[in-house]
Amino acid sequence: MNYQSIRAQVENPLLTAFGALDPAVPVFFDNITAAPANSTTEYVRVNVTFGVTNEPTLSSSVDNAQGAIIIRIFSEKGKGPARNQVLVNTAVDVLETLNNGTKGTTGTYLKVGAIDGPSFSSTETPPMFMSTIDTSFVATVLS
Amino acid sequence: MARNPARKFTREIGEIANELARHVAVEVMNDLAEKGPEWDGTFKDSWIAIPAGGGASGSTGGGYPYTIDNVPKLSTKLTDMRRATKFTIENIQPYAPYALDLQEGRFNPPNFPRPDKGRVPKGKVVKAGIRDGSGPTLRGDITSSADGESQITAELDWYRTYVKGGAMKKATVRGVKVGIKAR
Repeated sequence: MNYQSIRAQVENPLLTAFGALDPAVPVFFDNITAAPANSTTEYVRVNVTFGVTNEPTLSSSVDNAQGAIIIRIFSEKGKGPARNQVLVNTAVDVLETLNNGTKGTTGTYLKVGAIDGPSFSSTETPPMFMSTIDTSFVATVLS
Repeated sequence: MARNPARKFTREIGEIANELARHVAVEVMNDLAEKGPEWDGTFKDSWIAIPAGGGASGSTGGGYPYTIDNVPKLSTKLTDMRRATKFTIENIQPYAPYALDLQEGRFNPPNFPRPDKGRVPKGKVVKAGIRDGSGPTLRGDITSSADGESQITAELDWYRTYVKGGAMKKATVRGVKVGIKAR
C-alpha cells in the first residue's frame, strides 16, 4: 500500500487550485504545524484520514484504502459568507475533478463519495469564520 | 375472503428488517464508544439510538458495552416499517459536537478537563503535546511534544473517519450477521 501516493492524489490538486487564486490562499495539510495560530488572514486546512485498508473482497485486488477528506476553510469574520463560499467552490471543484480520473494499469486510482457540507461555524468566538466540507474516498494502488 | 399472502410476506420482511436494524445500531454504538474520546467515561456511556417514527417500545441508551436491550423495539405498523431510516444514533452529552471534532472550542482549564474529572484520562492517550491556547481549537488538534500537558484519547476527526472510512459499513455488515444468527 502506498499511502503517500493516495495522499498526493488529494493534496496536490488542492494546493494547485488554491495557489492559483488571486491572492493565493495558503493550504495546510496534516502534520504541518504552521497553521497560523489566531490568524486573521484566510487559509485552508486539509486533513486526509485513513479508515479501512485492504478489506478482503470477492475480487482479487485487495490493495485498497478507504478514508475521509476533511477540508476546513477559514476566512475573515464579520464579512458574510461570500468569500468563504468562493473558497468552498474551489475545494468542491477539485474534489469533483478527482472523480474524472480513469483507471489504468498502474498508478493510484481514487474516487470520492458524496460531499457533505458546507457547514459553517459561528457559535464560538474564534477570530475566523470557518466552513467545513468532508467526503469519503476509496483508492486503489495499481502498481 | 382469503388473506393476501403478499401482505403477510411484507410484514415478515419488515419485522426482520427492524430486528436487523437494532443489531446494526448496537454494533455502531459500540464502535463509536470504542473509537471516540474517553476521559472519565461519560461520553462513552452516552450513545443512544432514537427510533424514527412512533410506536417504538423499550428503553434507549444505557452504557458501554451496549446490548440489544439498549435499543428500542421498532413499531410493527406497516407505515413505520416502510421507513428507510430506522434509527438516529446520537450522543446525548451537550459537549458532543466538540468531542466529535465538529466544532471548535476552548479545551483549557477550567473548561477542560473539568475540575471534578481529574487530570488523568481513563481511556488510552493517543497523543500528548501542546495545544494552542490563544484561540478556540478542535478537540483533537494538538501538536505532539514532550513539553505540553494536553492529551487526547481519540485522533482528530475520528468520527468522520469512522463514518466515511469504511468502518461503519463493516459494523453494518457485522450487525446484520449477528441479527441473522440471533433469529
